[in-house]
Amino acid sequence: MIRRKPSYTFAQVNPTEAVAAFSFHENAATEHIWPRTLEDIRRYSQLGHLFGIKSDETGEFVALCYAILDEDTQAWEVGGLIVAEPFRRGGLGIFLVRMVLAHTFVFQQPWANDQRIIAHVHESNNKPRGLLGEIGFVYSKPVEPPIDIVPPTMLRNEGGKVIGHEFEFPPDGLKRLSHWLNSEFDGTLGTDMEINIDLGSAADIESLKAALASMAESL
Amino acid sequence: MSRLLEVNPRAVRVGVLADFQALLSQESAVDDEQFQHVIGRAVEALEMSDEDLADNIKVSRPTINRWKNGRNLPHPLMRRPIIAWLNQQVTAKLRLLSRLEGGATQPRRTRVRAAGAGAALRAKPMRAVGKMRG
Repeated sequence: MIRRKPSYTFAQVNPTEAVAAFSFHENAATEHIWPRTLEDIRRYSQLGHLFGIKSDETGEFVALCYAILDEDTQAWEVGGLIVAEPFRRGGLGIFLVRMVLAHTFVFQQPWANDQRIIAHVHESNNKPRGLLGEIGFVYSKPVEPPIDIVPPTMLRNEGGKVIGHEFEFPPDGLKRLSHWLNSEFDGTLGTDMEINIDLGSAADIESLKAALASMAESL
Repeated sequence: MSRLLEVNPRAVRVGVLADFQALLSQESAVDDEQFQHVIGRAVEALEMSDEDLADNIKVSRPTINRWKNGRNLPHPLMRRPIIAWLNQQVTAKLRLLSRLEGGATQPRRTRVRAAGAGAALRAKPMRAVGKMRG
């Protein structure tokens, strides 16, 4: 009997999945991650800011990530990346961030609207740095949120502060992103993961690829 | 003095949908201003909320709002499948209305003021219904 590859689907998180998404986020969150409340997750999903990858077999989340426009700074923040332990180092996190970036680029055209794309990493969290670098993000500057708004679960430094590092997505990153989607991604990850992409009723992967390639070529 | 006309509300719906479909069929529908107009009209013509539209296109509600205001419009190559999908929705609704019209023996009629019936008159609803039957 031929064993089918396990399959996973990338999609926007539906508001009806908010509780499951929160549970996944809560269980996987660390002291390096800004913890989100159920209300945050519910709001993100209601607003369509939250994206996830679910196992087609179990229906459970295996990765989550959001993209939100901060109207004050006019920056899209790609953040909240969490990948379930058994799936780390398998390329799922990179895949999710790339898809969220591709989705943001083609549906929002941030650069045509003078908006930046950024990501934040806790200063003592080294794990996501390689991932962000591989995707194309480059270090931008340190950031220090007011300590009175920082959740108590987050790791403080010796000075009692929580410092983050901001990474920005540059034009070269878009070229790399387009190349990955158009020439490298073949619908699978690693040796045994089949990946489906659900872009809703009104869009398809071929349009997404073409739009991304067009944007990259126009740089 | 206001004159009263008899208007079939189903025919008015058909007119609104037919107008919207004509807008979607224009080559310029993917242009910035026209696409913004398309999204604004979609909510009304398809009787959808911003949320319904956002759910189907798989974008956020603020995104729909931004598109309506001409901000952060999708890339032109992504506008085409969105317009094609909207067209499918219009066609499905027109088919449904056509079936309902065909099954109705006594279409319900509503009396409206002439001044408020402009949309129905402009849309030439009966002609649109006839087209669909064909």
